[in-house]
Amino acid sequence: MRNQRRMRAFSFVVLLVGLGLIAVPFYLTIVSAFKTNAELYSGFFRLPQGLYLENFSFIVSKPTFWVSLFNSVKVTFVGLLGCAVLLPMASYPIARRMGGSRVYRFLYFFMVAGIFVPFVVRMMPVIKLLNSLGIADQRGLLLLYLGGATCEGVFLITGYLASVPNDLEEAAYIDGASTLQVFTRIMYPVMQPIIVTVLIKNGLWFWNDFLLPSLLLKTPEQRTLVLFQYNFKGEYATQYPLVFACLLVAVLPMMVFYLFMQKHIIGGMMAGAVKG
Amino acid sequence: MKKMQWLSMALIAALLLSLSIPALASVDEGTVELFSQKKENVEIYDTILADFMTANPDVKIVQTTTADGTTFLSRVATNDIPDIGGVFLQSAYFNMMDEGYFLDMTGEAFLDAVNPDILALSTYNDKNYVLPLTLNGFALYINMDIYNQHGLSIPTTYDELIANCEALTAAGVTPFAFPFKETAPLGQNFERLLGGVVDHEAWKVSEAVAAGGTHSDNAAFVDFVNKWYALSRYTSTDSLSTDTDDCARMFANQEVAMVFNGTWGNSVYMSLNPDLNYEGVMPPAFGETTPFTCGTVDIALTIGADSKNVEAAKRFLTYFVSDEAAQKFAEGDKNPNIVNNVHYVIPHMSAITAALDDGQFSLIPSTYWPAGYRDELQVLLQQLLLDGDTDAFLASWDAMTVEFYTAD
Amino acid sequence: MKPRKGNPTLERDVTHALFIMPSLLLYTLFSVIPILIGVYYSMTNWNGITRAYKFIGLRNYVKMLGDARFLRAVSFNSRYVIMYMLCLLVLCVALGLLLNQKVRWRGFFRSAYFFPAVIGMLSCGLIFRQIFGYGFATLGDLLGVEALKSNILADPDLAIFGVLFVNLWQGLAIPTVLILAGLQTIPMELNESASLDGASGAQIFRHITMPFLLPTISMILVLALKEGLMIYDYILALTDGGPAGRTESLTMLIMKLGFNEQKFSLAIAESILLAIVIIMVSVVQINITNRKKVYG
Repeated sequence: MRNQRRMRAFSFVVLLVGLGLIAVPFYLTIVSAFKTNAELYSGFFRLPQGLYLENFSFIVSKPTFWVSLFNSVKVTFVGLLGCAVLLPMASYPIARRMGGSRVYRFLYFFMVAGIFVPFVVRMMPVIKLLNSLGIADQRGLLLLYLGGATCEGVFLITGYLASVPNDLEEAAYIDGASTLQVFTRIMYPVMQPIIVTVLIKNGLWFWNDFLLPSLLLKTPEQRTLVLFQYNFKGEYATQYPLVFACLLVAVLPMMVFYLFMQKHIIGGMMAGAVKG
Repeated sequence: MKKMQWLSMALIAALLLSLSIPALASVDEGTVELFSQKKENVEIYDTILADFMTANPDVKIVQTTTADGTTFLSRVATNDIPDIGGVFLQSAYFNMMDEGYFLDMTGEAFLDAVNPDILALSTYNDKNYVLPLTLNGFALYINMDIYNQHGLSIPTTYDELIANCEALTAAGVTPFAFPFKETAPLGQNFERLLGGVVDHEAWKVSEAVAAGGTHSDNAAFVDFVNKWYALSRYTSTDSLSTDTDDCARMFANQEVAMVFNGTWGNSVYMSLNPDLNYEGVMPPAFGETTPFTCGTVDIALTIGADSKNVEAAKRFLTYFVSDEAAQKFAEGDKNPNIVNNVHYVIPHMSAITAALDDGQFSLIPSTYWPAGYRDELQVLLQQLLLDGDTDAFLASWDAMTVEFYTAD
Repeated sequence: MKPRKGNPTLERDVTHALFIMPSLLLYTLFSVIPILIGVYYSMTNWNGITRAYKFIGLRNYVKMLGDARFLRAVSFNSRYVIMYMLCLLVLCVALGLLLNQKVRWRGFFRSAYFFPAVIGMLSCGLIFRQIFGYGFATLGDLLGVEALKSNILADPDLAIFGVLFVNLWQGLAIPTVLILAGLQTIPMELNESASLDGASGAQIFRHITMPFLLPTISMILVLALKEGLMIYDYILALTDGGPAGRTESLTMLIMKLGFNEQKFSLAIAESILLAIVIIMVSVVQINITNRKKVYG
């Protein structure tokens, strides 16, 4: 008993120290965003004198900021919607028939192999393709995201389904349910934890991605928040408080979303990963 | 989540989708696209574009900017050449001219509005593929307050510069800051000094080395490398940990007395510290050669050969070189402008403007160096800064040159 | 599958096929075919700009193996990925075990430690670039410690550790959660009966905890391998491949070759080689850990 208590106290201390390591970069970012240029150079670690809000008002006053924010939300949302619909649909038949059918086993390896191939290999050909189809913009971006999310998505979901017994489905089939009904009424709810995991991973990717938007989104009206941030940094590079403020503002939506959802997120990932 | 929630979410999604479909589509065909690779000029371009559209309501023109140079290349590689492109005089773009991606504008009226000497320098195969508008040079920026405090005068030779550095160090002032953490400013600094004070056509030496010579044979080059390395020591922190932003900040905050930078640094320093008393002067003579300010055409505009908006693009270029537009642009851009009727005196840079008027301008070596040559050289330079081994550097430079010039 | 009324298997086959179709089409059209085209390009001498190019077979691949810069990047990535995988494994297991204890504020700690994953890689790199450059120098001034004043990222031998630190700072989040999840699958009774029998903590760990964690660890290692070999964003933000090219990862070399130096087909060839290496090592690794699973 005493050992356990000592263990717990030790763990607590270690975690607290580690927390400092996690928190310091955030602290610096937040604190720097509220300083003026001069303040920053006089004291990097100090708390700001007052809450200098000019940095934020400057960023928020730029209309392109709001456009970029909206674009990021739009792209991420539509992308995740696509993932939530298409990926489970594709993984379910594969997971169930992989064992017996050579066709489906081939399909599994075919679709999962893409995880290992770096994007550079197909970058030029795929952009050329999008250009010739006339969709080298947000539409093309979404198609690329959905195509790219397929590999990891199928990998994770089939892994999860491998440890879900198919009794429920069998019972439903005997009762005369169609495959579609079985999928939507029974399997989809069961797959929820792993779908949450996939959505979170892909959500982070779509929201924070830099490379694909930089190649496909050409006008400020189409750009996402990440691009806005990068351009902003380029334009105002010598004014760090401004850059930090921009970083903060770009991260804020994600942070807020995370704070609200963290119980679900961590819970979802843990539940999903158990079976996988 | 319950079925109702899923359903309502799907409905909202469908709604959002339908609202956003118009915005999803890319730039219309009828809109002219100006692809600028200069982030610093976003605002001034916006102003000029707005003025143009007011005067020409039947044309729509938008500006796209890029985060880095890679996007222009991928646009060309995927056959999506911008209507108007801001390019540079470098082998990558010369290749594109070879491939016929840009319109041959020889003979167009708007070309006559710019300085004919510079226009001549910007031809390729005797054709005008670009309209040059501004130049950039290279300068030694000096904090005059610090100089006056220590009774120093503007150095015209390398030895005078070193003497000043020594005096400053003795007085406890850091002489220089060099942004050598980043490879690009490092390469810029080296090649612009090389092309400005050592050999105004330095690329010819590279060609000679590729044909079988060595850099060590060239006394002026060897001398320069040694002097350049010695100069790089006059910083307080390791120059390899300072980047461009740090450097600008240190100069603006008067933490160092001098920096080398292109003429574009001027607007940065002015915005960081409007009260700073400084001057941009010509680099001092390192040897026998008269120092030139070494640079390149900063803004060179091309028209895509297969563009669907050639006429509108030409109208814009004509407008751009008109007196009021060019004057406005010069004042916003703050770089030396070569449109003939523009009289723009750049604050703090009188020495450089005078030199440019006198024709003391040389093109940077990378104009004619093979693609990626300077990038590779930058890596060798960082190694030199690490170990100070000038002999090893010269030898690697030789090997690298041969490799680049004889690549298939 | 048990048969049922009507023609069940036909309906099921058709539905299954329809389910797969959209993803399969998207994937084939936008991933597989471009990859194949990319492979073709890697065997030409296309430099990204010219309209015409020649087929040169495997010449790019041969050239690559003799290129010093390529080999240096390989050496960098090899050292880096081994360090990264080891550190990540040790740290995420340790962290997972810690977060599994019934400490006070456990929920808060778990959420807090996941937080770094939420900001983007580029932002993370930029923040740390400031910290390594300016932050430590200021700290060194304040505390009077000389060693802190030099930027670790400017030191040719130590820069790799700077990158490693940042990568781990952000990269620990998701694997730790996965380990936490894996720990939940261990039945409590096993642990309790083991300690009643007098097993030490270390023995419990080795014989009970580890076997249950193996599938999770295998998954984490595969993803870590891929991350370590394809590292780019952090290097771009922190060192740009410097100093003197010491932290130039393979992916960074590929991007520079392709875009800055117009050696496009060579860049693609190198990335294909990278892909092959990743696949081979992952397959070996999965096979090894599969053999030691708890449930066959």
